[in-house]
Amino acid sequence: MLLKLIMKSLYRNKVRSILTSLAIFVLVATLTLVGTVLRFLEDSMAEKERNIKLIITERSDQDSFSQRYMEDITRPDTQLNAILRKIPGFEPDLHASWNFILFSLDKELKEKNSFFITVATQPDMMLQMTDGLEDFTQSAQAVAMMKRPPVSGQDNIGIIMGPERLKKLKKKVGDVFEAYLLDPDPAQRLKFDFEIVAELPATSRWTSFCFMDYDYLNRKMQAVKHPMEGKIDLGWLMVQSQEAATQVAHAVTSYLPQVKCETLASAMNRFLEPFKDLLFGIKFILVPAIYFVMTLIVANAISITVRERRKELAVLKVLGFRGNQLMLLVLGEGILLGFLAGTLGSWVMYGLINVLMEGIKIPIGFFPLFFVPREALWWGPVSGIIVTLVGCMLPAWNAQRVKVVDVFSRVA
Amino acid sequence: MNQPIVRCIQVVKYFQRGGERIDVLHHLNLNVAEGEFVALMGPSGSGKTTLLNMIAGLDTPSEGEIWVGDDLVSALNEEELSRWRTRSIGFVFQFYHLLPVLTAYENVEMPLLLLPLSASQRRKQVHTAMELVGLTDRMSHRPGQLSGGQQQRVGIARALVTDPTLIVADEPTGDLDSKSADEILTLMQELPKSLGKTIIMVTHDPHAAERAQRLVRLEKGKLVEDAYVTSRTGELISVS
Repeated sequence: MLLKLIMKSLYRNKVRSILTSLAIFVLVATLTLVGTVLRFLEDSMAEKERNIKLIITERSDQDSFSQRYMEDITRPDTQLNAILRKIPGFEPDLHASWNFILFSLDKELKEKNSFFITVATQPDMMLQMTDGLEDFTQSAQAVAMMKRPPVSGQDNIGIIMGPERLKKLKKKVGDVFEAYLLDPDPAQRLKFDFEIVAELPATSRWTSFCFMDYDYLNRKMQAVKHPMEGKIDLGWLMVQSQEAATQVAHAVTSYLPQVKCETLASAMNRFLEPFKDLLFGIKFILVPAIYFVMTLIVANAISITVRERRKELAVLKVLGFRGNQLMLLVLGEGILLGFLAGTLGSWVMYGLINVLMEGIKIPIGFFPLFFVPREALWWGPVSGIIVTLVGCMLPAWNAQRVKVVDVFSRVA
Repeated sequence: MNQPIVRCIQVVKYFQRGGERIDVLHHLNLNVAEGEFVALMGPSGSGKTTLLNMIAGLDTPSEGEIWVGDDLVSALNEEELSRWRTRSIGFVFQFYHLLPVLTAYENVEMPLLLLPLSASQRRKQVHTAMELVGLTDRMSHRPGQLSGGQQQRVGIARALVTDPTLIVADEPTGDLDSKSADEILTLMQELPKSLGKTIIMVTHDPHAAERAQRLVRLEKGKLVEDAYVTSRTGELISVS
């Protein structure tokens, strides 16, 4: 009956209930959006316990560096590799290098839409060493086809593309095409042949990226003695514990002072350093402000309701309802609104972003695409409930303190 | 006279407003017997509603004792008063005060929700109460769909549904036209006769007061007249 009374009271004040719910809905939806970005960035900056990736970069941060350094680390016959192998948790067979290469379909570089960025890496290592490809189900087959593309039959020219890039380039899986290395000097604009062998999942953060075989890049560079020959932009290593990560990083940087070796999480921290003030502001000012505004809206709406219904609450008291039962009645109304609007806010955002939009585009660093985490499905309703609970406290307290005599003396 | 069911002993009520003490009731004594229909009259500010509220456990006396049956109402705390009201008091308001979102049936059922009754027991009691007030055909109507007289009947059914010791009514006909008022007063006259209910009714209306068995008049917080009303003529016979 109490629930029925709550529902009926909410229904009676339809406009106010709808407006309050709408405000909670919008604010929870905003929270979900903000929380999604924060959560994703925080996760990427958080150190893992296992399968920790170490990233090797050139110390000055300004240039690519020689592949030779990676060979010193990974080749079994080097002194450094021997040292690293003695470190418990070091994975000697899990390593990769990355080159970021810009290509254009148009040799004259006039068509901006024909540009595309490609990560040149070792296909066999691509899946283990690339975060965000967990949903790539056809991975093993695709990796094999990078080396041996089925249509052209030319070794190593297989390229895997994200769906967004495919759309922009107006290409599809199975297409064989030519592309040119993006270089201001027309003489250095090497021609590459590519065959698209697979499409990356739409849910991946790499939807506008491509992956090609590093061997193919290297072969082409060697053939013309290109200045970028034998250079890489990033190197990747894998270790199994934080302790191993520290030891490996120390060994690598001691042996090769020209490079930096750090965990991916600390690299991300450094990379996101310019955004840190912004993220701090979002987390500690914007998010609490949203909660505060929500609480204020709820408190205001429910206070008006309680004020308007003092007579009704007094009647219930006369009938024998106790103060805490009246408090529960008011809290119940607020909590029900908060729960429904909060659920709707986060669930709608989840459906909209993850299903309909297939990720939201907020270009921060390497993260072009954000997805609402599953946790939002419960944090939305919980936020709604907490906010309404806090917002309703004072009005509910006032409701239970209604003095029958005062109310009816005013009525009469 | 039957055994008194309500006993007000040396009841004093005053309020403090600013530094000033405002006396409302002065050492008032009143007994009401079981099955009596008593009308409380008096000019505005005479203390009749205050007395009614204290008898109904909605307010507490500053001094003195109020007994209803075996319960010393004036000594109960807020929590105990709530429980006591649910079982012992039926309240009829001037402006009915039915919950507009609920049907007549649900309004009458409301006090029963606070008692340990099964749904079928509740249904039975609501039907009985609605039958007594002659509104079984309006049970699914909301207050807005009922006339003033019908709403007051629902109010009376709500007051009766828990089978209380005492029914208190504050100007129950004050918002009704004369025909509806007459119907309500007839119904109220029947309750002591048919169900043995004790009723204390506050009213300004002498015609309404004449319908009671006994008239108690207050002035400036003091009992100035206490008389039985003879039927038909409305003639008063003083209570010694």
